[in-house]
Amino acid sequence: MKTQSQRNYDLSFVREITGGNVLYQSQLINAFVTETNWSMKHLTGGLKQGKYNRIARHAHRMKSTFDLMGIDCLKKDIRLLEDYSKQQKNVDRIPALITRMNGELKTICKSLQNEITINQSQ
Amino acid sequence: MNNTNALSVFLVEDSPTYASALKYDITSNITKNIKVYESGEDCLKNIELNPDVVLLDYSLPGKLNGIGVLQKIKKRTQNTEVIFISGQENLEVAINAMKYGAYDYIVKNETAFIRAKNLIGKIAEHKNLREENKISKVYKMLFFLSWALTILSIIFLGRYMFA
Repeated sequence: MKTQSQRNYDLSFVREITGGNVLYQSQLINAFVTETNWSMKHLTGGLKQGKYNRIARHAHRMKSTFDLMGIDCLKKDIRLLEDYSKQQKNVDRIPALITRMNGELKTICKSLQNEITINQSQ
Repeated sequence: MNNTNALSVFLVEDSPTYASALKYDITSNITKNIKVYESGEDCLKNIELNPDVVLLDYSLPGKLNGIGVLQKIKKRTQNTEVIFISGQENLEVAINAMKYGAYDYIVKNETAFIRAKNLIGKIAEHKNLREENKISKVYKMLFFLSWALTILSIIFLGRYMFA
């Protein structure tokens, strides 16, 4: 099992607000994984169609959920993505940002789902 | 918190994860009477339920953003307090929110949940004070009326007895 410093997320805040309610933590993680997959589809779809407003809208929404889940490694990227797509500046950097986020989020979602399995086995 | 259990809260937030976490925190600490809406239009469809507090996100799906929803709520009633929540510090949005009658403005950062709970607590306190004030006005009125009636009866009785 990875230690907190090795993980690319931090569930301290989630644990704090749920007061150790493991069942609710699992529900929240599931909600995050579903929302993230859905948002990633919108980001890649928006990129393909050149619809930067769509990217900006979804990046904006994802930002607060990253903060909730303590995903600090993407904190800067998601803000840059929102800013670039909203202002339609540095648009050549947007594909790389989305690709990096997509890869990182797949790993994070997998690890989070493992947390649910661990929670359920306890 | 000051008698917050009876308080009714609407949370208008399009991120299911963020909405779920904030709802859980408010339900655990403030009131169980909380309804979540994904868009401003959904919130407005149910506004006749007269919530005490609306926690309103700025960026919303649909035709109305948070400011538009705030204007419509305030046009309909002044009894519902609106706490604005935004994903970024935007001075223009904050100024507009306050201009159109928002109770306060919260940025979605690490202290957002604590601020939301504190503000809802304050609103509950103000609401209780207003209710107490109303009751005290009614008591004062009744006291005055009973005195007036007593004086009038004395006058009438006096006239009757000495007539």
